[in-house]
Amino acid sequence: MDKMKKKKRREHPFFYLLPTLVILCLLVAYPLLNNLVNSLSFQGIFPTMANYQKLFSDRYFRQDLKNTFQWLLYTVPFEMLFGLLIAILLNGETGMKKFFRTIFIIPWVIPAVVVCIIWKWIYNADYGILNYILQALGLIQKNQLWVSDPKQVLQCIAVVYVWKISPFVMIMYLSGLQSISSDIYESARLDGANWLQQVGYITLPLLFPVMRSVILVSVIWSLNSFVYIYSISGGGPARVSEIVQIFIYKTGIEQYNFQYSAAAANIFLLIVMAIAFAYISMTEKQDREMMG
Amino acid sequence: MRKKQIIRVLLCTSMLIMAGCGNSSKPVETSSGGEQAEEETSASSGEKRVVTIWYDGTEEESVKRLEPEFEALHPDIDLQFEIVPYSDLSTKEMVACQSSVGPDVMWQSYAWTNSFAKMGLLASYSSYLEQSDAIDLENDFDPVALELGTVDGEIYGLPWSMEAMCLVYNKDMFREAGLDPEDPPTNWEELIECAKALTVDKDGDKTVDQYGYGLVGNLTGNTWFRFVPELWSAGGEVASEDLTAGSLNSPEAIETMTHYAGLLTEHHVAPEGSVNNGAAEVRTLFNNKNVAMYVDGQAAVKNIQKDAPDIDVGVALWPGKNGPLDAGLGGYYIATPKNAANPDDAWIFIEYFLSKEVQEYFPIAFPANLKARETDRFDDEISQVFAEQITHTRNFQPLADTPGAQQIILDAVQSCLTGMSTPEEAMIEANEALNQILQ
Repeated sequence: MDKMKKKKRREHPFFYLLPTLVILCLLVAYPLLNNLVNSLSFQGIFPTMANYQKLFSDRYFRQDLKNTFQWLLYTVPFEMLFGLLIAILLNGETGMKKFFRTIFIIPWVIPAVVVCIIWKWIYNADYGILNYILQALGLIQKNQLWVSDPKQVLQCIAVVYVWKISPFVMIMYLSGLQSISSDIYESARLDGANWLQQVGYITLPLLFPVMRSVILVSVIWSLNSFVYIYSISGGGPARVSEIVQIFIYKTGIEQYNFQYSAAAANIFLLIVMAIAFAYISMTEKQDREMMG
Repeated sequence: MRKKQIIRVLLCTSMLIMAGCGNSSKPVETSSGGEQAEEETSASSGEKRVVTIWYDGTEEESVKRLEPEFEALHPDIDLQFEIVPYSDLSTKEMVACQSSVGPDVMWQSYAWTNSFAKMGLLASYSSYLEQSDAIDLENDFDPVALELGTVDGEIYGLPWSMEAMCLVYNKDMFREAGLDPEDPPTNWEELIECAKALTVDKDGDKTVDQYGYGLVGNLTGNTWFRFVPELWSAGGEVASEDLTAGSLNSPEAIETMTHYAGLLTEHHVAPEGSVNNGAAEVRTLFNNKNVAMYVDGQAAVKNIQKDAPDIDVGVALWPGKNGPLDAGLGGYYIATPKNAANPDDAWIFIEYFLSKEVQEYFPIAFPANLKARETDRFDDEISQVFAEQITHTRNFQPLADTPGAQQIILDAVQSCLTGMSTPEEAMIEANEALNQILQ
């Protein structure tokens, strides 16, 4: 017993943790604090909140916040739906499972910028292939404007995003599905459960832990996605598709207004953190019930 | 036992993170060029003094010639060229100037030098110029090109290339439409007429396949360079002379917007999706024979000739409201950060770089050194037109927040092109936004 204690003391767990802590401090804590200091404007030695005040009266910032949440609604639910649907279909007794799995994973593998450039031309109002195909099929009479139309630009880009991210969601669900024992389905079938009942009473509840983390990751990714909107519409026309990430980039990186941009980033960080915490605490109880 | 395992896992992760950091931070160190790199090289190459130069990779072939040539003349100096992509260049330079590690010489766009200088980030060349025998600014350099490098009488940046945009058009399409390819439009009215004749539905499916004019309606810089000269030609300007108030709500500005957006909304001679077309997209459409005319620079024409050799490219002076207009002057400046490690040797390089001998073979665009323009490199027909346009240029107003103003112009253009607002509404709103950033 005494020997054990001595040995334990010599391990110094915090000493081992030190490298990680130092790196985390450098990579996370320092930028956060630095950003906080940056966002304050100084009058003499007294910090003021002028940047934050300006931010809330900035109509573009308010509009961009609204756009960001619209974007969230256009992306995450559909990502979840398509990801889950494909995963369930692929998990069944389909032939050529590997073939379809490979096909569906392709969008996830292509670099985002490449995807955006391709889709930008697909959506082109005058020479895009989408208009051409829809006209050939007789679905539309006249060329549609797609991403040149302020009324539908955000939805059009959301389609690209969902197309790109769904495969990731699918893979996550698929791995969750494969951990569900087939015995459970078998006994359910013996009891006369149909396909829908199997999905509703077995698949979804048992998938809950996976779903919980996939949704969290998807929400954070969606709120932080920058490339898709920036490279397809640049936030335009006339800033109608601009989300907060693009606002931060434009004010800071393009217009050198680093303090103002830092203030916007901090506000947005608070919002994302609030959402994440609310979500985690809301689902924690359910998770425990499921597991218990 | 379990605790031990946890600690082991943590340790492994931390080592992985460290390994990852180690790898990724290496190229950053060398590319940021700082003191460390300097020390290393001076130790390895026997007390050579290092001059670090940042540029965006254009004319890389010519730059490769400079290094051995210069180092043969100055064996005690080691030139180190580092490429920073153009899209990151201004930001990286801004960061470098505010920290203590940066290049000794950097390439800049005209507008940047002026705002960098006003922010006090650049070293003055004035004292070097007074003693220099090699550079005679008054006699050898284009005075319009020098304007933006001078702030409060001190010279902070020197121009080395000059570029102005012209009307680029497809001569074959002019012939097909029954227009004379040697008689391109010279003012707005003729431009619209020409563009109407060039906008055609070739296969009779009731959708236009070829547009007369390639309107640029996306990307801040691209749109700024094409809208503001049109504004000048109508007698307008972005802001008042003392740069304290916007003048975008003037009748001239509204008239300019009516013309610019009208090419799409009224005359339908520009692609419907113009709000998504930056200069690069319009060039692609021109190369694919979807667009008959548009406005672009000398380097772009070189690229068209390379990418679409079957197009018979014509170039004409850019038509303004009542005739050829003054294009906005573009090109490259060189400047030295205030905190540069080695400004004296940087100056030796600048004297060499701006000399007639180097500039004669260097830029695709015109050299700012007038003596270097006398070579036969610019004898062809297209270069002659660009040379004439260079004599009809103006500098953009040196606003403190040019990128902000560029965004405002883009927003106005896009909201007119999409019909979200009328030219009048858009310009009044733009002027309010401009007044806010001018204060």
